[in-house]
Amino acid sequence: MTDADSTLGQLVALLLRRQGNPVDSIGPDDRLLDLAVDSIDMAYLMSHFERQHDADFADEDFELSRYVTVGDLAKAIDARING
Amino acid sequence: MDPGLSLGWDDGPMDGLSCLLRCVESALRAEGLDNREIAQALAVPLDLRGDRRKSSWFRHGRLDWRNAVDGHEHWDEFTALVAAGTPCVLMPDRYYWPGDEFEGVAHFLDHMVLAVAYDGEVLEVLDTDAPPADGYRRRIPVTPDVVRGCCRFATVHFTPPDDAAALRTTLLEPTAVALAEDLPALRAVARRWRRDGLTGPAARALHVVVLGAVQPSLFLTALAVEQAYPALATELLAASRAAQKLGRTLIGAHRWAGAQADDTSVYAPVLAVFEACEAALARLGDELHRQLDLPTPDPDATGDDEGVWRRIVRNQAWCYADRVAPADQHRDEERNR
Repeated sequence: MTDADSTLGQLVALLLRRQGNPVDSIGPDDRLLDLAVDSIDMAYLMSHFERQHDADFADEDFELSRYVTVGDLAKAIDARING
Repeated sequence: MDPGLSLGWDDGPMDGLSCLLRCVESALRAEGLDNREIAQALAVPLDLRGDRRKSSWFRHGRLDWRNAVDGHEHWDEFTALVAAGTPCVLMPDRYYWPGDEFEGVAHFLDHMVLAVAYDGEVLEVLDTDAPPADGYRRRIPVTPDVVRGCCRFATVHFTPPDDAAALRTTLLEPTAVALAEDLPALRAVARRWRRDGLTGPAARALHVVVLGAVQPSLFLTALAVEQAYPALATELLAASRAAQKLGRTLIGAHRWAGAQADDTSVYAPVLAVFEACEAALARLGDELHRQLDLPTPDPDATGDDEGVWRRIVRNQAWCYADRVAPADQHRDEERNR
């Protein structure tokens, strides 16, 4: 069970709302590539969290190759948001 | 379309060039031009307002568009050219295009492919959206719907590119002047976006402007002048990257918005990316004026704060096929611009 208010919960909710999302449920261990997440999705996802938390991510934070799973990505976003 | 040869191709075919320019690049390479010659052929002054240059005209060439409501009207001419070995840029109506996300859904015209072969039954195109494993080629069985959808096509006509001295007067100086005039109008778009939000159709029109014109102009100008003006080329590339990020983020947002979304909240996160692009363009404008020793522009000189927004609205009408017109009418409009 994922806390809906956590960064992971918000990320999962976003991924589930994406058009063409191939699955009904998403967990932290799911691989981003298996979910068909690409660099275009990353551009929007990271911009979404930047705006929501008035944060400024580095260019390399947007690189899909830095993350394997949904959990990896959520942790990185968390680290940027909460220092 | 070869990742090893093509200009700016990093992660994919849309790096650096639009689908249209990728098609023209392929046609020019087939004519024997090298990459610098192609960049100089395709580079045009930046024009955020989009009304300074005749549509489809470059500094040393043009695309001759045939525009019809129904592709049957010019199918014979189109296929005769392609079959004879003249590659043609094709802008299909995606409503009729097999396998397209808009097939049978909406008349949306924003994507271009290069038609390279036709054997009477199958049309072969180079397509930035085609699978890489297939060499970015599609072989499309011709049906009445496919013919119907081939309503816009163009032949490519270029003369050899210019020398280095002309780059300043025909490319860099016009970019500096236009940028100074257009930055207030770009800021007005940001104010409108903050106030009213941005709908899906407007956001799609904006991404077509950004990735179809603004970013390629910056990128190609950087390549065209990198030997003569290396410091400016660096600034141009920085602005190009900011524009590319804006375009890619808009396309990402479409995936959350749906084809015709009116939910402006989906595009709200992209506003900050737009503002970062605006800042990069302002820096570029300052550097162009400083390095070319041009007079400091008067920030109130134009008085036209709606110019960029008008372009977005125009593009929205064009991409959503409100303005599909018979060829004669289209050519009259082109002549009058």
